[in-house]
Amino acid sequence: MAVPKRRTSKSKKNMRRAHWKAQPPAATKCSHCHQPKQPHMVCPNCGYYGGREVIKPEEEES
Amino acid sequence: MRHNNDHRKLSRTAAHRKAMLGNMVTSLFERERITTTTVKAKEARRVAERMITFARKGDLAARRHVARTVKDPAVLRKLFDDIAPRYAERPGGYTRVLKTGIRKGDAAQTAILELVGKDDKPRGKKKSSRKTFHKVDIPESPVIAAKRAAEQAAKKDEEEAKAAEEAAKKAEEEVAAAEAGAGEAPAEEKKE
Repeated sequence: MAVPKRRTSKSKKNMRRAHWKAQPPAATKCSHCHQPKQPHMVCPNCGYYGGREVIKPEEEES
Repeated sequence: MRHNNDHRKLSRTAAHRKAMLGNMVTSLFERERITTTTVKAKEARRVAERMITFARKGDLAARRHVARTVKDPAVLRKLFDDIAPRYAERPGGYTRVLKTGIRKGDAAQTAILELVGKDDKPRGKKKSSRKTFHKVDIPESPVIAAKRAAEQAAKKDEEEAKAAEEAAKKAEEEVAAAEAGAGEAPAEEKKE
């Protein structure tokens, strides 16, 4: 069975992982309160979605 | 291949899943709106839509069928007497799933499943940008309509003229008139 001849060096390992990064979540602006929000989601700030719907009143705290 | 990919299993046995979805749908009909995870909401949506469609039929068989899922008699009554009539004109799509972000405890994507309101307009098909049209999509142009009306009027006139002609010939001599009428009729039809 094929087997690695050398242990992967820290350098090689780190080089390989250099492109492995987390992406920030997509964000859009709420059309009602203009705060940043995730697309296709009810705005966590004002509770609006799809122009008019007050889906839930503001939940403050916690 | 999407063979056997009919529904999400939701990490439950069939009985557990069935019971849970039944409970969720019952709650939905009772409260008009429920908050769950997005995935559960989407599964419950299917069941709920089916139940409303049955409820719209409104007969005893439908009621018994729905009662297998909606176990609460009071909610069953509400579904048939109150909810179903609301959607009499709506061709499906009685519910709506709205995503509401991530839940703290387990980072689950949550959503609201709700019954579509009475005055919410159906969104309808978006205007398509397709280049080919089906015949039924094209409204008849006024020019063609006018032409057709004129043709029909002409046809009517022709028939009346023919009838008058035949009547006149019949008066002259019956045998000849019958022959002329028989000979003329197919020729006239071809013209139209």
